[in-house]
Amino acid sequence: MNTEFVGSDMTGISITDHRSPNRGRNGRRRLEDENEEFKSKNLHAERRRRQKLSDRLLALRSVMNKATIIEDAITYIQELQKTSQVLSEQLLEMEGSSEEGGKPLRIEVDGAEDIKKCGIKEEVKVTSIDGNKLLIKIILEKKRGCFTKLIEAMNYLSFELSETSVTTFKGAMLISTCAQGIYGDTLMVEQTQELLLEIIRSIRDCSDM
Amino acid sequence: MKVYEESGCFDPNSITDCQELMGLAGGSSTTNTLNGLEDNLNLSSYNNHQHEDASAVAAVIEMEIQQHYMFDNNTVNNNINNTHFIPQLTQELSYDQSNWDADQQSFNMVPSSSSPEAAYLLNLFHLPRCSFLPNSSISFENSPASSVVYDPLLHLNLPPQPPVFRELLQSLPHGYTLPADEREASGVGGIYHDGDNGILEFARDIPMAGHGIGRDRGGKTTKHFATERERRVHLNDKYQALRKMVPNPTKNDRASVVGDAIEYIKELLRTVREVKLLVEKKRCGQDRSKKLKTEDPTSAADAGDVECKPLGDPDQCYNTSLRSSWLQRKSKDSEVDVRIVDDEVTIKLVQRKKINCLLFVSRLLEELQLDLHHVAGGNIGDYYCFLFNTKIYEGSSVYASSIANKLIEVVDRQYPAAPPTSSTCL
Repeated sequence: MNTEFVGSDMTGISITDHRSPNRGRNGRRRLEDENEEFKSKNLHAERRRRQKLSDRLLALRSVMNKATIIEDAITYIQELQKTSQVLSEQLLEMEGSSEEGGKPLRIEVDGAEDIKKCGIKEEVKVTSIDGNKLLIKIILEKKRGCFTKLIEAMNYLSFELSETSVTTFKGAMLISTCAQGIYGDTLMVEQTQELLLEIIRSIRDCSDM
Repeated sequence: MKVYEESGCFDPNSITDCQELMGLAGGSSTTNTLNGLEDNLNLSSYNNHQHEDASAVAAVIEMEIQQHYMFDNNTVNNNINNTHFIPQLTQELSYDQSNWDADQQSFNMVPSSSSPEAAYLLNLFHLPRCSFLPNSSISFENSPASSVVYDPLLHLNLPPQPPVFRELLQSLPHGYTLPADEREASGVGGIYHDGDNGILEFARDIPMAGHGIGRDRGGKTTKHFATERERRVHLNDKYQALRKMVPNPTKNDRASVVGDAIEYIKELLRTVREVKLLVEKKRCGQDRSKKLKTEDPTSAADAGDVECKPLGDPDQCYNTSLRSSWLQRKSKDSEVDVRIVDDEVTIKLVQRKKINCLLFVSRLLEELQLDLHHVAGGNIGDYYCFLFNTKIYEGSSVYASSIANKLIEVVDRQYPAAPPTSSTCL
């Protein structure tokens, strides 16, 4: 009978004949000692056997000639590719059949509440820097897909964003970019500010998913 | 008296070594005829250096070499004959000079049956020893495997010979050059090959040591040339096949191919492990959702540790381990680096084109159900460079390689649409 001890105070796995429960009773001390001895011999033997095997495997590798090594590598890669493909297909199937729609919405609801708690407000601030560049700072309520919509909008207005930085904090998103007119035209600060404000408001009110 | 004259350039940097050599096997009357050669080799004349026991020495040498190299007795005896000596020597020197390459230092095989003295004396000079000297399994017989004839002098690093000498060499028939010349070698070949292509062949498969050995130096015996070349071509094809399987092939040389293959295999292993984990989790989730809903165990176990889920589910999921994997993909104008730890995905994107890739990327991230937390990036010269920190939405089972592949595809695909297309959104 073999038993595996996991989590015992022995560092390895010992496979032993389990004759008596290892409870440390005095009467059983002798048996335990015998057990220990058997275990340790067995352990050594087992270790030696494993060591021998791994040494031989290494030697086998070292003795293969170059062509075989390359061939084996090719085969192995093909095998791995197949496995990974099979697994990912399996994953897709499972994806299709499972029904877990509830959770994502939870996050967004929290976002709105968090904002109110912290007193973060929506904001758009546009400043003109360095000729025809604009530094834009936007704070908006974080929603799924809001960033994409914003970028789309700015794209539509033919802004070219040279530097962008986005951070999120407690359900709000802070976007700060440096924008330029794509066609080199100068953008007006006021207009831009108003436009963007409108945009984020519509994003917020936009309830489609 | 024999004159043993070697080319004498064992140590290319020192003429004195050569001189010593010449002194060792000092010559007698026949030195006169060799003077021309000597001069051409830039050796001082040794007419004066004549050892009294030169002949004795020579005899001893022959004996040793005979034993040492297992030569056919007849050939050796023939070679002892004085009159053949000089022509043999010059023939030996007539090895194609292109074979004398510094790279082939790994070789020290000098079993030329026609100049045993040369062999022995070469050995005296501490040249790097071949790992498979004749006492081992090297066969000097005709082996069916394709084989290579090695130029015994190739390791000698002979200094650039004066042109006169070169002409002299080239005027003699070469036995060891390109296969096209094989047939010409009959004059010389007779002596070396002994009629059966025997003496200097080595099975190609013997050398596992050192890559240089795998290269074919010297000529080949015609019999085995075809298989030799075929084998080389085969091997190259295999390397190319390996290269094709790899997603990011870099340089074309063998070492890089192997290196890339190693990286790719590691990557595949990571991906397989990751997807397995995901499948497990999914299955676990599905099973559990059939039963009463319970809290997900959120304890992060050590990676690789296996623990049972609580609540005594009969279908136990063994994956509370942390999922982690990463990958890189490069294409001509873009580079993508995806790292996943648990449910956080960090994506680095470097892209060469000047298009509004931020838009496309953020669209893609939406699709992949990745929740943007941080973005940083911008325009650096010709490149757009971005770093995205995202979280995977609950329930999505996207994995590293899928992200990377889609990203690269999207980013590369957009190039033709260089001016950003306007899109409706409001």
